[in-house]
Parts: sequence; C-alpha cells; structure tokens
Amino acid sequence: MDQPPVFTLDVLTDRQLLSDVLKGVLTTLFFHRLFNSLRPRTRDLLDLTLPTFDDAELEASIDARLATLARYLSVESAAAGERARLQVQFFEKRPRRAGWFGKAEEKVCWEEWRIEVEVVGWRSEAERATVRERIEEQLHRTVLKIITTASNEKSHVPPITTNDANPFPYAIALAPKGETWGTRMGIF
Amino acid sequence: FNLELDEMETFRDELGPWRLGDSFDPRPSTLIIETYLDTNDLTPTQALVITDGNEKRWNVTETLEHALNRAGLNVGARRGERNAAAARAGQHIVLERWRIELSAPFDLAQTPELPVVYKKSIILFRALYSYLGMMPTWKFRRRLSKVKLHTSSLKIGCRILSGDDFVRSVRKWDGLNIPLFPGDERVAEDFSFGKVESPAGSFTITTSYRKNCDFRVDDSEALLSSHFINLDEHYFRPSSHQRTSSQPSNLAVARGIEQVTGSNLPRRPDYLHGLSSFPQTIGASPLSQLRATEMGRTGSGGSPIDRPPSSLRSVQGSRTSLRGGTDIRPVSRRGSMSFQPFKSPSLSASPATDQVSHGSVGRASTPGVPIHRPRPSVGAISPSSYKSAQSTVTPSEGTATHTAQTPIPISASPASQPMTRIASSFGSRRPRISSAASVTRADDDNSSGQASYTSSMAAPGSALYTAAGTSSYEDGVQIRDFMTMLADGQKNSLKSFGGGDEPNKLASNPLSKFQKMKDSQSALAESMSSSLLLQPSSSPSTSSRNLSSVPGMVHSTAFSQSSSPGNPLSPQTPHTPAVPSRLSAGLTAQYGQQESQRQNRVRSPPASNTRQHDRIVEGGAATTSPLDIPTSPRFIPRRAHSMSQQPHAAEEASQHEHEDDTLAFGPVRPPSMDTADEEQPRYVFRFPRGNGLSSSGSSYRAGRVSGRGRGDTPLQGSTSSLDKGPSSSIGSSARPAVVGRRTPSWSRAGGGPEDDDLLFAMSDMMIAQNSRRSLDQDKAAGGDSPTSSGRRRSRGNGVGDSGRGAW
Repeated sequence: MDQPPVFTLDVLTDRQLLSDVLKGVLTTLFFHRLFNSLRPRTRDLLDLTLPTFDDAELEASIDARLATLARYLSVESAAAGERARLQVQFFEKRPRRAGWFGKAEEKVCWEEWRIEVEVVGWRSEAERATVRERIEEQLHRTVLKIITTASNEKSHVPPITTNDANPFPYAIALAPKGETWGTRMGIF
Repeated sequence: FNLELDEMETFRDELGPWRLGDSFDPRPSTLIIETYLDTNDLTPTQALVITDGNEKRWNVTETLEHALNRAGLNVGARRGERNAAAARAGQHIVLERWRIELSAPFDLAQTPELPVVYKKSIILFRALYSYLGMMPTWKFRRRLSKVKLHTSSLKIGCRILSGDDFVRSVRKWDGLNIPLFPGDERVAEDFSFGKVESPAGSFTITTSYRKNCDFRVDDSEALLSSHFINLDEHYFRPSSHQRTSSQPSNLAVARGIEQVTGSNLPRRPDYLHGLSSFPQTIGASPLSQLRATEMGRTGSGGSPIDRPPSSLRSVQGSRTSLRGGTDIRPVSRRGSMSFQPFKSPSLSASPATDQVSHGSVGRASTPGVPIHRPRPSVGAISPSSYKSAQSTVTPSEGTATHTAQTPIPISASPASQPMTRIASSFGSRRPRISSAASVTRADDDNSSGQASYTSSMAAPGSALYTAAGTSSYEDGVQIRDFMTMLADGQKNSLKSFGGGDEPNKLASNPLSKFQKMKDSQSALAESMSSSLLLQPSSSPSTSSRNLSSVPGMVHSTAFSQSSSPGNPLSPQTPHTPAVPSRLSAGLTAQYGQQESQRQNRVRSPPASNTRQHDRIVEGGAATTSPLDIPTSPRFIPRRAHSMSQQPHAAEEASQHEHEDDTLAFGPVRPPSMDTADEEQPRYVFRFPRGNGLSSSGSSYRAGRVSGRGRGDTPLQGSTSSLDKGPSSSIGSSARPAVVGRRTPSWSRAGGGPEDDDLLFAMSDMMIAQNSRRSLDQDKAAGGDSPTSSGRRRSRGNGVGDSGRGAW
C-alpha cells in the first residue's frame, strides 16, 4: 500500500504537565479522527479550551501509554530535554483476500501521527514562567495543527463502512527516541 | 454528523431561509454570523478600553465615536436615536464574522457520494468545534464570565445577516476591521476550514476575527487618573528626594506624609463630606469612588493608590481640592485600614492608634480613597468617625491612620473625592514613603506626624515602607521636597497656627473647620479610636506598618488637617459636639500646626522632630504653639490622629486618646509644632482639643490627650494639665522622659496619664530617636501590651520612655 501520510506534532511539556498535555493532545487528535458519534465537551488546559469526549476505551489506552511513558522518562535521567515519541496510527480494516491466514481482514494504516514529546525542566522560578509560556504556545500551535491538518487532509480517509462503533481501529505506541521500540499495541 | 449537540432555539426564525429551503432553489445566500461586543450597557462614566500588545490601554468608546463620525453614522444620540440601526451598529464592535457559503456546483458528475460528504462533514464540524475553543473571542468570553465585575457592562452578542444585506451594510461600516488603536494594522485574521464538496456545491466555512479581544471596562476617571498618575510620578520624584534627607525612619516618612496630608487638609473641607458618604468601595478604583462622590476631582484623584506619585501630584495640583478630597478619602481609607492594622498587634502603639482612628475615619470618608487598603469599614465610618480619627490623628509615626484621621474632619464635607485625591496622592507617595518613610522618620521633627501620615497615607503597601523604615534618605528627601512644595502652596491657604511656626501655614480657617469636624467626630472617633488604640500598642514599627495598611488614613488625616479644619469640621460638628471646643480648637490648630509643621519639616528636615509635630499641631490649633511633631515613630501615627483631631476638637482627642495613641499625638502636635519640640508632639496629640490650646501646644495637648481618653471635656482639664506637662514637654523640645510629658496632669480622663506618658514617651522616643523603628521596637516591646486601643495609652503605661525602652 501507499505509505500512509505521517504527520508530526511537537509537544513541549514539563514533568508536571506531561500527562495533562499529552492527554489533551491525544484526545484532540482522536476527536478529529474518531468517527463514532460522540458528544463533545470542552476541557480547559493552560488557557486553552480543548475538545474532549468520553470514550472509555480510548481513555484507557491513553492512560496506559502515558503511564508507560512516564515510567520511561523517570527511568532516564531527569535532565531537561528528554524526548520521547508517541505514535498513533489509524487503521482501516480491509478485507483480506488471502486464504490461508484465515483472517478476513487486515488492518491497514491509512494515517500516522507522530508526537514528539520533549520534557523540559526549569532551574528557577523565573525560568518556570517562561517555560510555561513556551509550553502553552507550543500546545496552541500543536492543537491548531491538528485542526487544520485533520480538516484539510481528509481525502485519504477511507470510506466509512460501518455505522456503529469506530470504523477505524487505532494504535497508540510509545517509541522512545532512538531506543527500543516499546510498542504496545492498543488495538481495539 | 456524529456530533451530539444541543438544539438551539435562538435565531430559529432568522435561520429559516437556510434551514428550510433546499439547496438548489432558491439558492441560499451566504449566511453570515457576526459576533459583536455590545457596549450599550456601559454607563456614562465607564469606558471601554482595549489593551494593546504594549500593555497600553486605549479608549475604544472614543475611537468608535470618531470612526462613526467619520463614517457619518453618528446620528446624535447614538443610543438608538433616529437611525437606530446605524446607531446600534455603531455601538457594536464586531469580534467575529463567519461566512457559511455554498458555492455553485461545478460538476455534478464529479460530486462525491453522500457517504463521503458525510464523512468529510464530520471532520469539518469536528474541526469547527475545536477551533472555536481557540479563538480570541472565546477566550474573551471566558474571561468575562470569570470576572463578575463587569459582566453586566459588556455583552457579546450574535446576529445573523444574509450575505446580500451584508454586502450593502459593510460598505458603510465594517465593525470588524476598524482599528481600535494606533498600530493596529491587521485587525482581523482569517481562517477557513476545509471545504466539503457536495452535490449541491462546495460548502465552505470561513471566518474573520479580531485578533485582539482584550477589552475591559474602566472608569473614565481611572483612565484620566492614570494619565495623571504618570504625570505625578514624575512630578513628585524630585520633591520626594528632598524630603528624604533626614531620617530614614518611617517616622520621617510618616511625617512627611502627614505634612503632605496636612497641607491637604485645609484644602478640602468639602471633601470630608464626600468621604463620609463614600461607600465602602475602597477596593474600587479611586476614580470610581471619586465619581461616586461626584467630587470634583481635580487631578488624578481617582488614580489608584498604587500610583503614589500621581496621587501625590494630583494632590498637589489641586491641593486644596485634592487634599480635601483625597484627604478624606485617604483618611477614610486609612481609617479603615488603620483599623485593620490596629487589630493586629504588630502595629505600634502610636501608629496603630492613628491608624485605628484613621481607620475609622478613613472608613467613613474614604469611600473613594484610592488607598489600597482594604477598607472594609470605610463606608461604615461616618464622618464622626472621621472626626475622631482625625482627632486621633496623633502624629503617630507614619501611621496612616493619622492621615485618615485628619480627613475626618475634612471628610465632614462630602469631600469624598478630595479624599480620594488625597489618597491617591499618598498612594503615589507610597513609594516615596517607603523609602521616604524611613527618611521621613528622619524628618520626624518636621513631620513626625506627617511621616506617619505619609506612611499611613501611603497605600497600605506603602505604609509598609515606612514601617520598614527603609532608611532611604532619598525618599525622605523626596517627601520632604514634596512637603515643601505643599507647604509652599499651602502657606497661602494654610494659616499659621500662631506659633509663628512656619509650619503653621495651615489656614486657620481650615483648622477651624477641621476642628469643628473633629468635634463632631470626636465622639465617634473616640469610639473608633478605642478600637484603634488597641493596635497602637504595637511597636511603632508596626504602627508604621499599620499605617501603611491604612495609607488612606494617614493621608486623610493629613489632608484633613491641612484642609481648613473649619470647613470640614463643620459638617461633622454635629457629631462630636460633646467635646469642648478646646479640643476642636486645638485640633484645628494642631492641624494647622501640623501642616505647618510638616511644611516646616519639609523645609527643614533637620528640624527637630518636634518641629514636625509642631507643624501638625499648628495646623490643628492656631492658638497653640506648634507642637513638634514627634519624630519618634510613635508620633507619626499619632500625628495623624492629632491632625484629625484638631478639627474635632477635644472630643476627638479624647476619643482618640484612648483609642489610639495617634490621638494623643494629633492634638498634641499642634502645640508642639510651634515649639518644634520633639516632645511636644506628644502632647500635642494629647490635647489638641483645647482649641484655645492655650497657646501652648502643651495645653492643647494635654487637653487632647486626656480628652481623648476621656472625652472631650476632660481634655480641657487635661489640657491644662497638659499645659503643665506637655507644655513643658511640648515647649521643650526635649521630652525625653515620657513620664515627664505625661504629667499626670494630663490625666487623661481615663488612662490619661498613662496614655500621655505613652504618648510622650513615644514622642520622645520618636523625636529622640528619629527612628521610628527604634521606637517601634521599643514600643512594641513595651507598648504592645499596653493598649491596643490606645497606643498612647500603652505608651503611657510603658511610657516612661526611658522606662519603656521596650515600649
């Protein structure tokens, strides 16, 4: 198949905001790519209002990944500038014609998002304020990028064949930069 | 589209053509949704301002008017007059403009299938939903909803326009792209969502929105005052420098402030009234308060205390008016403020008292005082309280309360505005005071009381400065300069109190007025001071701090003093009639003296503290020789009281006496002012009442002091006693032995002697030490205990300065 489009998002955060920021970003991303009917809500984060919705499975997946990421980051030296990468893939189920596998369909990734996470710290209170500002700005830019990208690049979205549930399985993977791929598939 | 949203009934009718028609026939026109800012609810005194990237505020209302005029749309009464629609449109600032269009289908053969259309629409609406949360208008709306302050004034509305109408109307007036401040080139930003192809055409949603939605509602006066403040800042700086020559102690600062305020006092008798009538909107910007009181703010007046320089300036500029007004306000504020500090043990006895008294006074009078202190009780305090406050405006060190006190008498007049002004002036002074506070302390001699005032006058925060006793001579110098300036200006208005003291520039009239006010308020003040006095017991330093908290008070008192006691007092006269005129007389004289003292102080920083006291005293009692404004920190706060007291006459003195040392100082001051006797200030405070102020401030003081504790009448008696004591002390610059001062003759009606002692001790200390701090410490040590209510008292108890040591 063709290479699915890969979109990169840069996320800047600090230790405290790590899970909140990432969760916000991921939720926003899924908000744009999760095609089941959902009731939107908003959630404020760092002076931004992000859309959110309730999806138990998604939340569970996200939480699991973030926990792993946090563990990973804490294991590593807590120096400023830690990086990690999250990878979100959207699949579509394509019926497989092949015989002997027995599987009727296969999952084909039609879109991939890479979230580069950078964790920064600060050394003084003054620095903290500037760091926070940077985080906010970056979050704003990232969310904006999600919105524009998702709304503009929609021609490659596969047709929705089912009306119930999520037609597109997704996978959230944690990929420590340059390290082993601790891929955990959250295939649902 | 897989997005569950609530159905909305709004605009149902307007949206009819788009909802009901099919997409082909008739072709729906562009749907335009505008979000606008509705400013119809702004009161005439409010202005819509926008903050640009440089933190500068621009008046949007004016800009809009101009633009409307230029566009020829300003049809008279903009609010719905003839051309109501245009008028209303003119009122509106468009924040967002959404265009939803369906372009004509270009090729039916290539139209996507419906599921695809739906799929893409899902994405589109999800994006739309997300994007809305990122828009500046949304953030603005969120901010409005959080801040309940002006929710009623600003509304965000929405209206539907059809594309055809829009094209016509936008030519005349485009509410979206109007730049609202210079430098606003690209007012709006555009964003468009991905289009969705459909068999009916290409469906697009685009938006233009204002990038800057940082709107706020401000009081028009606030804007003005802010301008003034800026001016003032520059203006005051030099003067303050001069003032800070001397003592670094807060006292000095306080003195300075007191001086300033004192000078103001005579100015604004009318303000006094205003003050009392002020609602307790201490928190409100001074401007609003001023407005509320409809006082003719001369200057910034309204400027929040935060801007001490400006406030000072404004005060200066319109000294009379400002002072009066601001005095009142600050005083009131102070009063309220002082109350708070008083409650806290930290307040030194003297300052506390002052503050307390001020607080009461301040409270009443400073509805509009921009003093930052939290004046919860301000509103509560009635003019009478002012009076008392004023009477109690013992020149306690820098207690802001002093100032507060002074205003009281002044506050009699509806000079709420003046108070504000004054307050603002003090506010501006604050910075000075902080540094100057310490310095002013040095100035003790000049304005022991003033220093306290200044300190007190300074916004609560500033008072802290004084308290901190930042030994910034510069500040002191500045304050001194300022005082000088004031003094100069005041000379004309202020009547010398007889003591021939230069400080006695205070106009006798103001003094009389003030005294009258004091009288009226003395009763109230007494009660108030009693509560206030509790605090004074705290160390002088604390008092200074307290002062800070009650900058308004200090200012007010100071101002009140300066303002013609007569006038201000008159309104309040009814309040404290009980006290014999002596106090009032003394008070007024004191104020005058104080003022003069302050002025003196300004002029001669090195002058003994008593000088300052004297000045203050002078202001209060023309007759009494100016009492030295006690340099000791204690006095500063007192001074404030004394200042205020003067107008109130004995009553206040008595009231304040007990309540706060300041009272003691206040009345005492005037006499001392003349004598430039350090000790005198103490006495001055005491008996400012004795109008007659038996020439000697001392008598005045005695009267006051004692009177305060007991009530007006006793003052008289005490006055005499005071004469003995205070006069001696007052007259004699050296009153080191507080006890001596105290002279039981003072016999403050109740804790008179003690208080006197305290007072004297304090004054002595202040004067002698010229460092409030030390005094404070002393006081704190010794004085804390004594009487929270009456600093003086505590002083008296502990007094014996020598003995006090700890104070």
